[in-house]
Amino acid sequence: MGAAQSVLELYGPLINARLQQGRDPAWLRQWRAAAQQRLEQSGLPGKHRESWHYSAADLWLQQFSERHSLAPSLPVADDVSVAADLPDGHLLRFVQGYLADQQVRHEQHDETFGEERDKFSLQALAQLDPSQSAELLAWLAASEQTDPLADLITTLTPETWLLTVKAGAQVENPIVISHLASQQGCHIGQLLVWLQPGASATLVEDFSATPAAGEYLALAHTAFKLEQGSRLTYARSNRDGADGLHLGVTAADLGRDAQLRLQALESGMGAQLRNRVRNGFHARLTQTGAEFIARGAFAADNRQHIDYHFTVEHYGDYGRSDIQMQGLAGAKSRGIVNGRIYIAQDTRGNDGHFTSHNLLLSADAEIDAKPELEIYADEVKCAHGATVGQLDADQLLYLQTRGIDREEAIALLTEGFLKAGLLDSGNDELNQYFQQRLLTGLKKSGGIEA
Amino acid sequence: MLKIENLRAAIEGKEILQGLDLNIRPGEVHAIMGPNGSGKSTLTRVLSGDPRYEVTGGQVEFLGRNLLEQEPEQRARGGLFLSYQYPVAIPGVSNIQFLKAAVNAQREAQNLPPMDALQMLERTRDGIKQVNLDESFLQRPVNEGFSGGEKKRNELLQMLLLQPHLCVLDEADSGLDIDALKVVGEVVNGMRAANRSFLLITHYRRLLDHITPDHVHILTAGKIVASGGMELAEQLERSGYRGLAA
Repeated sequence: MGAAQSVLELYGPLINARLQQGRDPAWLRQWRAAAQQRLEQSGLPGKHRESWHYSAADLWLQQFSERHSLAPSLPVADDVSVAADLPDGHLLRFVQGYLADQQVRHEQHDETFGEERDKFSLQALAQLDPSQSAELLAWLAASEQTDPLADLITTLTPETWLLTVKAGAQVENPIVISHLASQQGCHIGQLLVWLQPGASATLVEDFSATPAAGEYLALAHTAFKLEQGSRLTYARSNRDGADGLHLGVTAADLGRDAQLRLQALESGMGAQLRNRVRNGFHARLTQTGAEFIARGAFAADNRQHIDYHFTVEHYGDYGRSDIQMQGLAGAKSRGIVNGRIYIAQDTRGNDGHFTSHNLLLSADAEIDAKPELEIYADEVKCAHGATVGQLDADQLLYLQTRGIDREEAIALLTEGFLKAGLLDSGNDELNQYFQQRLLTGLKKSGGIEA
Repeated sequence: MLKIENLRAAIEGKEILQGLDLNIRPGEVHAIMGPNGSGKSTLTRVLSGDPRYEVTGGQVEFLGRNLLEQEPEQRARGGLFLSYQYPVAIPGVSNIQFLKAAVNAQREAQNLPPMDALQMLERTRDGIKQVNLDESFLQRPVNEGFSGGEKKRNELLQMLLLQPHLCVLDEADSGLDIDALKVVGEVVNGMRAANRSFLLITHYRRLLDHITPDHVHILTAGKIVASGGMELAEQLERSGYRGLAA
């Protein structure tokens, strides 16, 4: 019996117990049951699936199950832990996967959302009135989860939250969602974000851990439905604990002229990092004029495993996808950037770009960069590329001949290299937050070997 | 200031400098001229501490200390500056960030407190005017997208800010128009001082019309084969390197 099968069997009773809980309405139980069926057919994510080629998640889950329960952690009453260094904005705190802010939990948004409380709302998906949300329900029912991780989370998560930005609303302040792990165990969270036509917002999801978190498993699913003309700037910042295992999946459906701009950042915390992070991003540009722009930067060090996967599908005309990732790998770490831009037949005028630039800072580090294009249309403008190299010796010498010592010169060069993976969010404070995350990631990197 | 004795150096196993001698006193301007492949750039690279060049013999003393034992940043902090013929571009690192790091490295070596960004900006303003650059260039990445002339001006700006004891200018005139050449001349002449020396590496005489050297040397096949004053440069202009050898 393989690892994947045995751990799926471990999940079986947990999933059944979850689906039999009475708190979900019938339509929601149906949605979760469909995910369960798909999961049983596809199995858990692992190396047997091309998109998970570099991350043996099934093996990791089995190893985790030997030391800890795979059942979702229980909420901790009155947990007031707050992650440090978050940007200003409308703050929502999740601890161990549970919404920690009681006022928001009970839909008392005034204090949290302030003057913008009429522009957006957060509610438990189970509380959604189906008679008023036919379109959203249709989307949920039709959504083909292309990632088995999303299905696993759908079947198991104790809570699913829906963040809705109302039609035409321009949310000025970022919505900041802090996901904090403060104890061992399995923390599962699921967030659906619905931007109605013409809405715009900035959303930051920050994943962090306290030192007390120790060895934990974080399963995090975020799904976006971006209606016509809506615009979302989304930052997903991973600063997991030294012994964290983070498996994240983000899926987006983009309607006509909708735009999703993504900033992905990894800057783990703590010395002697051993954590593993695998983030999958799936974007479907379903109609004309949709845009998906992604920038990302990571600095893997020690024994970290950082894996970013992108799947972008163009089904409409005149869409645009542009992914650029910058990565560093030092010590014995491993960094991965892979994925595919797919352009469907009989579409016109689509642009797709996918590049991954990486630096190896140590002879023991490893980078796998595999951006792909799969094009079935004639009228496209596409490019993809990957580089894996070392610090430029001429650049290093140039700085040294100006009196800058080797260590500082390396820091300047690596910071400059990673900066190409930063997105201009249009918000100065948020840009500074991105920069700060980047520098934090660099500080943990030991630089190149002597 | 700089004393080079019987310097031999190789790259990838091929010996380029084959026993070079040179003595530069404080306040002097020396020019080294030579044909392509004579070892001019190799000399500058060896002085700067480029690890790709192997010193196979000889000695170099700079301000009384063995230069060859020092790391590149130590040589720079000790007052040696090399203006590159082809300055490298450094994407992602802004000029102001780079200049601040360089100036503060210098200040640390002199036990002075570091400058902050505002102080740095003030300090660079005069220098920017002198080299005819726009202040906006400070926010641009180092040398990225710069024209040849702008890159050379950036080298001069660094020289002005770092105030080195020995300035080695490798082909500072290459690719420059007349106006840009004048700027080079003005900056160098403006920096001439009793405790500062210059080593100009050049193919052509025209730079020397703007900066009058105290000594001219001819470098061929990795050795200085002739030394003199401006008359040597004039003779070279008339007869060429081959004519001089004959």
